[in-house]
Amino acid sequence: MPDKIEYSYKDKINIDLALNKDVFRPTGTTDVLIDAVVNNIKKSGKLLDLGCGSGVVGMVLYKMGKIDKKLYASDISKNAISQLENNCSNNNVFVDARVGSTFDPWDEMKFDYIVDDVSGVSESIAKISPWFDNTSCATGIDGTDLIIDVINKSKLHLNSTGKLFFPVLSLSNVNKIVNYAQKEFDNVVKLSRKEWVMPEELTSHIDELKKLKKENIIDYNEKFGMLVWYTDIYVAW
Amino acid sequence: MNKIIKNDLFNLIATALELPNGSIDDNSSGDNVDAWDSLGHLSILVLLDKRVDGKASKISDLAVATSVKKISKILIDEGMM
Repeated sequence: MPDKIEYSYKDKINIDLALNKDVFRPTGTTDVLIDAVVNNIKKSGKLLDLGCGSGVVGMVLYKMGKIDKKLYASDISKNAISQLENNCSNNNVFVDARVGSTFDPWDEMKFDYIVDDVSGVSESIAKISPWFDNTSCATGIDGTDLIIDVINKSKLHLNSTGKLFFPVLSLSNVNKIVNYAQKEFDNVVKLSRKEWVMPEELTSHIDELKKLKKENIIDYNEKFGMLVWYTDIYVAW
Repeated sequence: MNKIIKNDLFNLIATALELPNGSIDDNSSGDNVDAWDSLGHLSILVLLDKRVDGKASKISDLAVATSVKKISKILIDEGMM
């Protein structure tokens, strides 16, 4: 039986979510991503939630009036899509949901907005972190494989004025991702940053963290006597 | 940098925790304010750091100062309050 939770966005939108164990749960990054997208979509449009998991990002954006007609969503996990369809049905969200890796399910389809929520941390971090028990993390040693693939293909799936929103976690190679986005798009703007305390599961591997930071695979700061990593949200067009 | 007065600190903590002004007082702490968890604590420290022009990030004792009283004592000791 899936767990059931109520996801609340700033006390404005409440969504009943059923979550299976092998489907990624909403995280702090989910909240920051939703916030940045809500604040930066001025006109509703055709929106794709890429790597949608249980669907919370797309459903909140739909309920906030940022999406025309129906939500488009895809995920590599069949279980995630099945869960998303149930969650959308339970929350009165119209959805076209498809299974597949990144843009594979969308042929030549184009969108006004693509919101990427594909996970992106270094595989070295994923192995020692508490976050990836039952979910896939094929992101490469520096955590950039999936997001660079998304950036690379997204221009083909955006309308001429379309925008790609994507999170960059400092537990991946931030500079490599941002530099790649700047090569592909005319405009790349950082919308927000949220900082997080490094969990004990990671700080207990401090030598590994220092090594990865020295190799520019991850980034973090020492502040207030803690190790602090961050999520930046970018928009590119 | 202007020194922080007590009410500034109450309002700063409330803002960081997305609570209404007036909801934080001298007795508030991580034990009795639901939103004051580890994420909330970091939000408080980040906002405090902005308020004191980056001087708070170098104070390691703030990591475990999870109450108004403990934060106040550190700020007084450091000459910021």
